[in-house]
Amino acid sequence: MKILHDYGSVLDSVHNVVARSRLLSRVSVILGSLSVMTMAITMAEPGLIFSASRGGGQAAARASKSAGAPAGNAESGKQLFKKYGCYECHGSHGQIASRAGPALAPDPVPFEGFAPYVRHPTGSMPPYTEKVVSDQDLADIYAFLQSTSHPPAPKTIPLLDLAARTVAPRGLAFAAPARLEAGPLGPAGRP
Amino acid sequence: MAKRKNPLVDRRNFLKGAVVGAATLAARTETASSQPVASRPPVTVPSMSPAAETEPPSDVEVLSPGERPGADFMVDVFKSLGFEYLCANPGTSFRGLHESIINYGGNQNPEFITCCHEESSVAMAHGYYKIEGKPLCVCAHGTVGLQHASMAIYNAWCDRVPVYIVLGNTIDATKRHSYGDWNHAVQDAAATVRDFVKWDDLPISLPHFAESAVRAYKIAMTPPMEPVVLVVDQELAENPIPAGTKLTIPKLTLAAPPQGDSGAVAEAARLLVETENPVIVLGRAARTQAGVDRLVELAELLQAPVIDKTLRMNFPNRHPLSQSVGAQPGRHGRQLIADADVILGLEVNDFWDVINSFNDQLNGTWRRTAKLGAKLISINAEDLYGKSNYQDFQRYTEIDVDIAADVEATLPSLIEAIKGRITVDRKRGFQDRGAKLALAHEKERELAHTQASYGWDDSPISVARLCAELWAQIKDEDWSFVSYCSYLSWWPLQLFDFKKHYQYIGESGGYGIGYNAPATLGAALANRKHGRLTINTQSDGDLMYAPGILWTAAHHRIPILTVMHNNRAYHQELMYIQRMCNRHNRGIDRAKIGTTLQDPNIDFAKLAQSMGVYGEGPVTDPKDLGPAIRRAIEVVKRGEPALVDVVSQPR
Repeated sequence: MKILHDYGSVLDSVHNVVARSRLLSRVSVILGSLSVMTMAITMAEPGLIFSASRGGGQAAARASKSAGAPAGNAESGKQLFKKYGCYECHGSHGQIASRAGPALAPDPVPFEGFAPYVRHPTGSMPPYTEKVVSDQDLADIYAFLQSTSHPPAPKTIPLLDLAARTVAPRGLAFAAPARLEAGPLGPAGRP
Repeated sequence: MAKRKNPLVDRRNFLKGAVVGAATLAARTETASSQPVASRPPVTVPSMSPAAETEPPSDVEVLSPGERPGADFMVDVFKSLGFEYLCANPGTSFRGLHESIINYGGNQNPEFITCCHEESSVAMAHGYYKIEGKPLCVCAHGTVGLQHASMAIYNAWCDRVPVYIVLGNTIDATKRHSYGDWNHAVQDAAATVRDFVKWDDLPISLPHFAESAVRAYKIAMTPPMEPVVLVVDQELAENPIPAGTKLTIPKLTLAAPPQGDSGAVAEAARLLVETENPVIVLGRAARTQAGVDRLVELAELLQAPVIDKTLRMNFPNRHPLSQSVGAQPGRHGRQLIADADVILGLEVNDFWDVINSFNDQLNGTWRRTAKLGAKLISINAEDLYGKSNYQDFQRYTEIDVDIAADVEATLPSLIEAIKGRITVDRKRGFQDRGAKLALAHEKERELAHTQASYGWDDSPISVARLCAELWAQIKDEDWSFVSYCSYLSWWPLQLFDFKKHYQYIGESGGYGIGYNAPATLGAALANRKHGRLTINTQSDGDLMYAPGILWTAAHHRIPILTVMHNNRAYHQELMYIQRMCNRHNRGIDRAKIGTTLQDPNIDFAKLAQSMGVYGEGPVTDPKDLGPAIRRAIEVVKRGEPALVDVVSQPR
């Protein structure tokens, strides 16, 4: 018998750190590299929630990751990503965004945010110390995450395009967005 | 009672004679091949008595014409309660009841469903209830059978599901005839599970049985619904009904579910109408389709966001007001909770978890994620009943308006109270809120589809791809998805279109693994007469607890499509061990020890085939998956079970 725990805090914590890292990345575009001390101060900024790997500030993230990341071997990183069990929560492409873990790739967060989080996670992710994952291994993993490419657009995948289309209601009717803006509350026939 | 006695040969001596005879036969055979024969004394072989073969031994008893065993009356009681099925692994202590069900009862209502493990029997009843809305009967030994069944009973307890459990026991010590009878007898059979059943009894007469049987059903079906236990004495079931006994079966009257206090409901309505930032959180809110419809009405009336924890099918997942990602709030949903002034929890048993977040590090800590001062409203029948030993009641939460009542029964009065308070201005504000939520809903869906596209052609097959392939094959059917969703990263709840109450049934309740395979079959048993296509995405680890359920599916011709989510691990535990390895700073190299199901890999298609179930796989190329599912559905449509083994990504 197994007990499930709440992984929600993983997302909360990672998103917050990532958010702070993104904020950092934007600042870094302007100011150049920042010290960890500066980052820590920036990380105190509350209330921001972003995607771990995509969303606003993508260009800024790309700009900073090349500036701050150490040299790494993407092919080695791909193997290490599996060896260290990263894929178990984050998916084999670092793509999973769920209770098990946030998406890491493509467009990973800046290395300045990535590395400290791996060493000292604030959510439910296990900490990976230097003893377990060396700095070079971490750089290789980061290089792998940087090397991953965007998937094809969902609309180009027939099955996902199918899932995206809303199926005509069968029995239950509910308000569509347009109706909410223009019509009475609730579906027709309801007060 | 008619008795035919033979003073010369009784049954036990007859059996002894048979044993000695067999032993001697063996000895003679050996002797025939040994030398020298002549030195041995002659062997006297007791031959079988002609009398024993032609006349019954002294203590053989059969009922006289007109006599009936007590179990026949028990079957009459069960029929009056409307049980369609009785799930059991056969057990000596309820053999009399078993016989009456299949002969006197005609094996109909209830029909005996042969299970290969008592845990499966209870889990089948668990899944059946969540589709059909009424309990199944389960029979088990009062000792060893109940011990097998206990985990599944605990799951049902945690999931607030009524299961009607009948235990066999031999109360009179002088009637226990063998080593096994004594081992299977117990002073207080229900004690093993009393902490997680709502009520139990040990009737000592048939009138007592009738009353307790009906009472047990009523108690099980009164919210909060829970399992109940009835212990049946073997002698009471097997012996004839005493002459002159007047037997009647009490009429079953189910208690009306309790409505919330009118003053508290009015206060809840006031808070919900006046706030700018409400959130509705759903647990086990809907018991029926009417409940789903009422919840839609409530949400639309307020144009309030809905976070559905999907412990039942409560709310259409594609409704614009749904702000969940699977069973989770999602990024936008979490922000809604953080900003909320009023949070309405409907049958949410872990309200603490809604407004806090746990950090599972070396010193686990909670932090509040909801605003301090946010008003919390709860409608929950669990407040009406509880026990102390097992801790499924969750952490204490400071609720502002706490209504101990049934949600479905209370929703009409809450909706009316809200209607009475909505002004034209408030309606306008609600419309604006609803429009924003609809846009957020669409954005979350688009994000989900983008995430599903990663690793689309990977092998092992991505879980999102597995679910998308499945949806493409079932979307035009009258489908019922009845399995775990959490192990699939909730992809079905993101890709399918859930509208009807029977299209989803939540999960196990107690997170006791071994639930999914039998519970989904119980759900399929309920769906069968409705002609629905039952879908089960089955974890490998769960199926290995009691794979005999596949045989039950084949034997009883229960149509169900099982698609294996075969990640070859107890992956949840693998992640936890990995967490411990790193927390203790030792690396994860050995985390797979004890957490994986590899070397050898399990061939689930062959496992299925060995038990008479159509099996395909292992499917490793995603291009092969759609056609394999299509072929399996054709089998299911013929009224049979089918399994497709899919080697999949962990999550």
